[in-house]
Amino acid sequence: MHKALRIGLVIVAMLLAPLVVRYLPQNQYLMDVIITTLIYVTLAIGLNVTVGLAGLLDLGYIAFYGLGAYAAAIVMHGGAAQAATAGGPGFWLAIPVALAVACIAGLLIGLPTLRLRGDYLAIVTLAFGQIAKLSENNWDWLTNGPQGMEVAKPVLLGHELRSPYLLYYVIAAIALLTWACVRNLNNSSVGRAWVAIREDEIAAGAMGINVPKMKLLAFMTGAAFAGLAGAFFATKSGFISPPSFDFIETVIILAMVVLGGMGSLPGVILGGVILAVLPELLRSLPGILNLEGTFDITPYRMLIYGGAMVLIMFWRPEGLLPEAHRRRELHGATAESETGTAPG
Amino acid sequence: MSAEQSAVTEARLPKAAPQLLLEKVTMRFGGLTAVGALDLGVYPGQIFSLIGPNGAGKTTAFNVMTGVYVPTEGAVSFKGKPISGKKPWDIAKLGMARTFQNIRLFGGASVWENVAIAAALRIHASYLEAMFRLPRHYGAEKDLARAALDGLDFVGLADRRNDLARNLPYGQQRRLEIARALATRPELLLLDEPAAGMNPQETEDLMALINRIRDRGVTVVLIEHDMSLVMRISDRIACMNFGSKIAEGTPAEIQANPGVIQAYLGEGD
Repeated sequence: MHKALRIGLVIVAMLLAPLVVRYLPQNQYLMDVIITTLIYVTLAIGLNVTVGLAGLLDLGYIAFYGLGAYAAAIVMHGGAAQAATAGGPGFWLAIPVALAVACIAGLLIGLPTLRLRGDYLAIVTLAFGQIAKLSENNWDWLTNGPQGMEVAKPVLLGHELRSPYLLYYVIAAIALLTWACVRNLNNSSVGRAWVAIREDEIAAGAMGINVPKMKLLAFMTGAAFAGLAGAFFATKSGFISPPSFDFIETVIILAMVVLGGMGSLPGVILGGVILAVLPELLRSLPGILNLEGTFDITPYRMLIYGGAMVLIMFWRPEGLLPEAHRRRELHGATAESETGTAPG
Repeated sequence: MSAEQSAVTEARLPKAAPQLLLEKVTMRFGGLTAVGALDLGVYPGQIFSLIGPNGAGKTTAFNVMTGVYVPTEGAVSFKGKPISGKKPWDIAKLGMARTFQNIRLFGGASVWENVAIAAALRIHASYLEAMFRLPRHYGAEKDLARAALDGLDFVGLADRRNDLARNLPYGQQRRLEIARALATRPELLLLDEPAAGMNPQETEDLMALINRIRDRGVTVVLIEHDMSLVMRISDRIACMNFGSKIAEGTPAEIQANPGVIQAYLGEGD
């Protein structure tokens, strides 16, 4: 009952957030930060399935996000379109297509990597990420190459969703859906099978878990939500080009997962929020502290960002909100109250 | 052959074919022959022990039976069906389960989750049913929790259900591995050195547990170095050395076999 109440409160807060932000200074900018944060949270939850639960280190994750974005753009405007036209099938049709494209890509990258583990898997997925980005850069006939593609806004009941306040609700719905699906999988035989594979692949197979099938499902699940987020990113920013899907983005999302607590859903959400908001906070810090003009923080911004990450990992190696089990393992506590998953 | 069997074993020995049958099974790794032309037949309801010095090929034989390795030559069949070349999860589904010599629990998962993961082989909801919380998912979760608790109760670990598997003492980890294997509802259970590292009391408890498993109608194949346990519990024993079977028979026959004694104590002259 308490859990349902908490979830209800979060949903109400998410519904009301834009109404509050509207009355704050710099509200357009704030909405933009919130939307970007929700995109990152969605990506972090998705990557957590592959890396945190199934233990498959995927360094090409951002490729699924990019493929979702390009799939959406191409569905909405046709290949290599330079100017976005408001007509066409629109964003709502682009969503299932982006989802399908990302899923198929997840399957294709998953297949050859089934026999690989650890470092080798990481290298192959890293290469996949590069291939995806280079293809987006070079297939001019389809993606318009480095010039990028313009993408129209979603149209709902004849209205174009231009305002960030309305776009916010689209990404909020995507983030909530991602959270709910992954949470449900987490507390089921599917999630436990992924954990089993992460803990001991041989034993998992001997207990009847179809290891290749479950690994593919982990790749596809993570990819699907990245594809969704990518489709939204395309329509929200109105323009996509290959540099948005660079390797560094995968690193940032991976940092969100590790920093928050691998395998822990609340943890990766917190990690996503912190790492998405922190750079923006640092950007506006001089303004907040009335130091504008006397102190230029720009050269130190990434230094502080990186330093904060190092400090957090030093202080809490298992992440900010670790998986219930993991916390007990690393701190050696055995109290019943810390047990998150009693049966029944 | 039946003349050699004790009356008890004879009663358990059905007229039917062996449940598990290895025919001329050879497993080579490069130039090394870990198992050479091994013939083995295990009948339903038996407690069958595989003994032999370290490196004799016993665990390799287990790995061939459970699909971890595909035999270089020869055939393995289970319940009359050929299984060599089948994947471990397919063999588990057919009704064969195992434990591991070097304990391989899901250390980062809780004790009950370890058992529930295995029980999901027979009780499960599909991916989409789990993702969208359809009614079948709730039914499956309830059945899994009950199966896990029953399984833990059977090996006496119900009160440790919420502990992390990795944090259990050694003897309890071995029993959890047995509970996990039983949760797949096997007809044949392979135990790889279950008494290793146990104190005498734990070994006595283990022996009672193995007998209770057999009483449930599960055939047990045992790799074990504790000869007192093996001799007291086994219906039939096969002894391996350098990858080959050097003797097979009842405990009394094995104890009297000069080849077995030589394998364990080395060359006499």
